[in-house]
Amino acid sequence: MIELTNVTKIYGGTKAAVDHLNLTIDDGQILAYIGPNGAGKSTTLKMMTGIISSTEGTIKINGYDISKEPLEAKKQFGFVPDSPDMFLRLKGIEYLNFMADIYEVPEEVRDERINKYAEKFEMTKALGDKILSYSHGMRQKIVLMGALMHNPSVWILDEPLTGLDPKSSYALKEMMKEHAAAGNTVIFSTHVLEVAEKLCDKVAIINHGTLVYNGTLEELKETNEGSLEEIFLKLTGGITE
Amino acid sequence: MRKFIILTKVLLKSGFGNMDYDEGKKKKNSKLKKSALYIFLGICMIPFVGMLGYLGYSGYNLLENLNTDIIIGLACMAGVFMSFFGGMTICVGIFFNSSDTEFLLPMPFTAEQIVGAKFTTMYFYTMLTDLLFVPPVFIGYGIAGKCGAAYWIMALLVSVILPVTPLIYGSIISMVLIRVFKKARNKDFLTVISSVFALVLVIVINVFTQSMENTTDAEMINVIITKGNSIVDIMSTVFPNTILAEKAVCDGNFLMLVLYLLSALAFIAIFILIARLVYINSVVEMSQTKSKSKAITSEQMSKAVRKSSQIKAYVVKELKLAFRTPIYFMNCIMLSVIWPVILLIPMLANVFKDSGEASGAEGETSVMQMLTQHPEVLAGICMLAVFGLTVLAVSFSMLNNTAVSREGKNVIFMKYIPMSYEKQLLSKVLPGILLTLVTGTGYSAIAIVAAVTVFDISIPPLAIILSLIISVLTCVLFNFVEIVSDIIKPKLDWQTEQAAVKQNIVAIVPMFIVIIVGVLICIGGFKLYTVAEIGIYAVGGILIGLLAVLGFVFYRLDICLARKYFPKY
Repeated sequence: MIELTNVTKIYGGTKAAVDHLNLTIDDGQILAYIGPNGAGKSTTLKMMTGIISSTEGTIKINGYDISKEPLEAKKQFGFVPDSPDMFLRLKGIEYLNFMADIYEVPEEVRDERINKYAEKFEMTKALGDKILSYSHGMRQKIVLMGALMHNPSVWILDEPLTGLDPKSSYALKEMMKEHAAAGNTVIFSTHVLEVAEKLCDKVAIINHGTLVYNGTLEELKETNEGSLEEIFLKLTGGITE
Repeated sequence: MRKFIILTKVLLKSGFGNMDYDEGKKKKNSKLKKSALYIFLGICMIPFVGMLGYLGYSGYNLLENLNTDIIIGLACMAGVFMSFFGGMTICVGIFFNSSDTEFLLPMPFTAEQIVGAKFTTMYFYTMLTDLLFVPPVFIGYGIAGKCGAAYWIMALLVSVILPVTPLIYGSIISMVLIRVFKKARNKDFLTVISSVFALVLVIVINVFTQSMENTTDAEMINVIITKGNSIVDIMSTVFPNTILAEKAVCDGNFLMLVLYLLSALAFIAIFILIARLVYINSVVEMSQTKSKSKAITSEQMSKAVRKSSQIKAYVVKELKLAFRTPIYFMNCIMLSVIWPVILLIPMLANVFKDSGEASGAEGETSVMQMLTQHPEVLAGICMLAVFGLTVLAVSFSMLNNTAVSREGKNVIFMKYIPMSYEKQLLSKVLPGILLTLVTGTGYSAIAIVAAVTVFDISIPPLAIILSLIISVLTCVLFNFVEIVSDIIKPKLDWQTEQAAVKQNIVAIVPMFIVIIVGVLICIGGFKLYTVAEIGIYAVGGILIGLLAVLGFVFYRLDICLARKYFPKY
């Protein structure tokens, strides 16, 4: 479960990148975090993960406050950043084992988890190679696999589908569904509205740092006219009524 | 031309990078800090620059009635050599290994514009470095010779033009290497090859010039005239237009300067022509690194997934990345490993050659025998030498000065993993400590063993033990000292790895601090022994205590700084 209460981030003393944000993602839910470029999506995810601090408000991951109990909170989630260019001169297998060490994953389960994810994302033959030799999509997959090594209950994914081939994209979406169905929490940012439509229980739309919608897609469609794309554009000021 | 200027501006800006992660209102403060940093660096450079100036001054006085031109010739050659060596290690990186290349290739730039802009960027960096080496000699020479305005103008212009030709050599060689190792076309491999090439050249030149040391004034004049001339001759064959620079400065000859400038422009034209023919083809065919695309066996898997503690895993990761990234390996590790080959071995060879000659010719007591008769002095020399060696080894290691900077954009990783900043700090310092334990304490131990077994110097065992303890504590202390500036002001916004280590001004500061503090400790120890008349072993004990206390203080300080600054990156 993720709870954001009155979260604000101000850059440069004046500009609020995120403004008094209240958002709760319950266990068993997948939430798509949508917004135009510069709306505050990445800033929110960065605050959730402890990469930047919030100017105001509290963020709790499974009940642990990210600013007060950072280590416990960080153990709760797996995070995939927007850029997958991580430690490029490590081999895939070395990266995964490094992540397993950092997240203190027991040795007995590492082998099984690595094989499971490697097969799912068709990375079996790439694990012995340096990440530097991987394509963008493969780098995305290895970072994703690393984030899941400790089997976190909360997944925080920043544009996770970017660069993935259709099979891997499908596999990830299925994994997200299974994970949520097992009572866990998933939040991911995306620009692809169709993905949100097919995958999510809830969507949160942010614009200029303010949450302009938070609820189910059905409710959104009931209260607004037009296609999902048109509704999104109306809410974010892309088109005027 | 407009596109070339725009691109050059952008590359220069991104190359120097933005070291500020402070938010808005702190910008003023940050500017002040930056100015203070430059002032501090300037102060640190004064002894070095002063020494070079003195070299030019005394060189002129020494050769006043013979051939003073040789001083200018040698200074020009030193500048050319510095530029060539520096250029060789970064050319492959800048032209082929820089991540901006992938952005530039799809844009409507010609090969000449890309190569020209990259070359200009490289030229600016190199010229800034060269300004520390060549102009001081010119200034010393000019003051000694009471030279006129023409000399000063020529000296200034030659200093500015000097790096062009050697950098073009480096750039052409890097492009030739790419063609020669056509099949490899592996960026890492080529970076290593070009750096090793430059390194071998340094060692050869160093060995060649060693015989110029330990000579009397009369011998020195002879050596400078003969060897200096032959060095200038050899280098002139390789860099023919440097002779024009020498003549322009020595004679204040404007025509020579124009010819020198024209020759440099001709080199640029040739380089652009070669770049037009080979650059784009070479760069688009290059691969980052080879991939085997082979599934790992279950045996390899079970080996690879062994569990380690967080700190061990992080340290191993740091070391793997430092060893496997050619730029980091050459700049942060290699120098620390091979410095005895470059500095120490020729120096020691001269010392032993001299002492051998003294005992053989005069039958006097050799230096070693004299020392054996005074075990206290020998113990003092042993501890001093080991301390000095270790300080040098630590100052040559750039692992800790750039520990945070090397993370670049991956620095966010440090903030979202469940590992405390204290543990992460330790994991960042430990690789540097491990490296210097090998290159400082390890080499010291080898030197002691060689002194005892090969040269039959009976160093008191207690002195050996104290020396090694001093060495270990020195490694620990100074590695904690070295990381301070990188915690406070890391260079995280970079496009190429060399920007993190080679274009990182803050990383230079700890090198000076380590040497200055090392010298101060040496002076303190010496005074305790000579003025306060404390026994040498007691001085050793005091030094150990001091190093241990300072080590602990800096460990605690680093932890406080890590807690304060890591979350701000």
